[in-house]
Amino acid sequence: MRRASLWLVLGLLLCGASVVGAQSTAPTITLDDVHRVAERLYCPVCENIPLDDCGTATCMQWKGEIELLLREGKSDDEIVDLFVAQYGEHVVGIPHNPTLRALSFVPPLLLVLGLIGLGVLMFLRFGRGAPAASATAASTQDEADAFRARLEQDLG
Amino acid sequence: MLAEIGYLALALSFAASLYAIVASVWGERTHHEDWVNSGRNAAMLTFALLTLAIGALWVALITEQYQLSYVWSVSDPQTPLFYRVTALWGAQRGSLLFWCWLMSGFAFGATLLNWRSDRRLMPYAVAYMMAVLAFFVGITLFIENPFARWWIDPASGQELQSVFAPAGALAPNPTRLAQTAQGLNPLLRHFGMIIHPPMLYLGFVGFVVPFAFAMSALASGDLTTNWIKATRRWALVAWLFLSLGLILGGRWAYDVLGWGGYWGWDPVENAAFLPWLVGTAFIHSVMIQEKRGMLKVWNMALVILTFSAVIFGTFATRSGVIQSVHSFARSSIGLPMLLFWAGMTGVSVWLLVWRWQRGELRDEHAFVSIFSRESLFVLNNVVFLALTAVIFWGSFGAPILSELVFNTSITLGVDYFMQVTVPLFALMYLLMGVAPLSAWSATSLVRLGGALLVPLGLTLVTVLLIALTSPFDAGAMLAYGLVFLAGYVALYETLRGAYARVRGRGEAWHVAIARLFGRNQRRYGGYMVHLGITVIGIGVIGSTAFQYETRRTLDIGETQAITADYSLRFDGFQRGLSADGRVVNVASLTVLRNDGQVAQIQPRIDEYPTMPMTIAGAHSTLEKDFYVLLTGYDEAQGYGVFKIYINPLVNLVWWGGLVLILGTLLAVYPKEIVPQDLRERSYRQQVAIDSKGRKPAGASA
Repeated sequence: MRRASLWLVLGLLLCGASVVGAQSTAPTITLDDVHRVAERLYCPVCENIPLDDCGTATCMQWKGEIELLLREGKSDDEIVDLFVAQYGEHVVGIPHNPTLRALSFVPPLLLVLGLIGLGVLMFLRFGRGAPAASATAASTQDEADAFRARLEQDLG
Repeated sequence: MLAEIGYLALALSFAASLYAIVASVWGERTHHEDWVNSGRNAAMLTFALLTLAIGALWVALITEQYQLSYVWSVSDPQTPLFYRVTALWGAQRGSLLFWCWLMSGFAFGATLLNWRSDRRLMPYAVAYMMAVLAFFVGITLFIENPFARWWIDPASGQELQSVFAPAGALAPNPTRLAQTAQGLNPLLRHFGMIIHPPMLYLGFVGFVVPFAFAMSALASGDLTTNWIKATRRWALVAWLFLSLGLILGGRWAYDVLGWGGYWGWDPVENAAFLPWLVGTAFIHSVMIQEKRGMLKVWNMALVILTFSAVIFGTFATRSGVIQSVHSFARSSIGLPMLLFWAGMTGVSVWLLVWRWQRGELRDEHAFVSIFSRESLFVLNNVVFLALTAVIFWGSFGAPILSELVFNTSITLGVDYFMQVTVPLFALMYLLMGVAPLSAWSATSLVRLGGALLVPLGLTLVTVLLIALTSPFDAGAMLAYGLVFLAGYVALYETLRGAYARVRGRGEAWHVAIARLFGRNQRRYGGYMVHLGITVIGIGVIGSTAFQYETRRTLDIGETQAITADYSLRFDGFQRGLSADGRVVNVASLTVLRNDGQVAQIQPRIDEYPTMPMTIAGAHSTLEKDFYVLLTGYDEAQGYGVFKIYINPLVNLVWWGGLVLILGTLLAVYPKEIVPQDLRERSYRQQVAIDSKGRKPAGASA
């Protein structure tokens, strides 16, 4: 009986401990947590202003919403996805939609490749077509001296 | 009276600029010297007339003439004198007039200083400069006139804006106007705003000179390096002002915008950065044409692109095509500006293609080695243009196309720009390190590698020391390596030159360095600019990769640990009304380092009737900034909410800017290569030769 009572007390203690443990793992949301998500979003009213840096009423409300969602246990990515689904692609710094994402990244990549191609073309074209280079180039000072001498000569 | 004076001066300057175009082109085409001179005089007159116009507006601002709607919209009776002066560029109409005045100043200076030495290029150069000026004066005069006044129609009681009184209209009550005046935009009430816009405008309008001379070369057929020699300093001066404008803009953002940084990749910031990037490519590229007679088409294309970027940047800022904190001035000038931009670029490109197809822009030398300086300069140009392309796309191309094609608005933010620009900036720094060591024409890889040995060794040691003394971040270490390499090469090359003088001529080190700089200002000024860019790079990496950011709520009297060594104590809170009508909320904080007090700072929120402003309090050292923003407070409960940033090495960004400016000044500083008497004789002879094919002075016009 005594042994059974001990087990009961131990069991109650474990239950109590697990409840306390469960309570202590409930998420504590800090301002830094809200900031971590908010810096990935943009103000829906003032274009090109990160949500985190914006002081408009809408942004304050959004930050409140982020805090609530974090308390509910949503991950950062889930919250960002929710905002995009609700408010549109302009609330994030890089679109989530694959087409818009491609529109953002593919043309600049092609532009850069095109410019590199242009550089190579210039090298090849001007390397072949133009007259042969002189071995050394005159320094600025030499050029100036030569110009001065030529001018003196021309002017008599 | 001031409105009439300003309006008349503005209208006359418009007429004078149109006349200057016609007279210069006509005189040049028909070889009438008098017409050419008359065009020059008209061009110079525009500066005097616009000085009168801007003077009238300044007097109106200072003497509180609120009947002028511009004065009414940017000032009020509480505005201090200091901000009344800077209010000239506080909104669209005034800043456009200011822009015109600066452009006419550049045109005046270029005409005065280059007339004798570049006589052949001048008529068309004057025509081009005046064409640009005429457009801007035109939109100021006809669309955004800063001399428009308030009137009241007694019949309808409606308020009207017009320079001259409409029939039967009455002037409003001056007291009522003063009471309702709007005051200056709070964002612009900062010391940085005295200098930032004028510097940026000077940089923008300054590029009109190289552009006009290049177009003149294409139009006149003088396709030698004359246009480059004539405009090298003008291009550097414009670049210097643009650099200054960007640096000061960054400083203003850091102090006033309240987000802990200095560059937000905002579309309008980017619009100012684009001409800087293309202009930098141009400044490097023209050296190849001067030294080797190569890249003639490329240089023309770059100067066109630079000026095109200037006009586009102006259009983007002022038309409101992309909204941002900078788009303070939206109006109906968008379409005319877009048409002007397209027209100017189209005509310039057509001229270039025409000369190119005639085979008049053929290069004099060929690329020999891929490691030669000219090849590396071309690669450098490719990097600058690639940066221009990706930044343009992210700021304007993708958002506009997405809206047009998919009917979806998108924002490309910091994440996009960090992904696409960082590799290109890395390549830029690598080339900054390697290119100065390569020789013109032919260089072998072995020779280049040998020259790199010492700077590379120093770089490795430095990076190793940084890695041992700070938190390890592989990306940041690589970036530091590239940046330090560029800096060490600039230092090594300078010291090597000085050492040669010390050894060869027995000069003291300081004398050797001074004489080295004096003998080749352009090269050593350039190295100094590279050193400045290196210091900026170190600051950017430190403040970006190692920035620490946190939010804290503190009760009055409470101390909280922020990092292992820094703590912050909230000492108190004060609220008051300032003389200019804003409500000022100030938090007093003490910064502690290892429990020792290091600074007292006072972040604040200024409440203007239109908007609040968050002004940081910072403890600033060369090592780092402890930067605090007050974001919320509850006086009754006695607590404040703060954003705290620790920005390592951020001050190097400003110090690097200073080195860059000094280096550019050194490169620009005038040095007499051909003595004055010789230049005079040359000019006289040139005029004599030219006049053989022209009608004598006084024969016409």
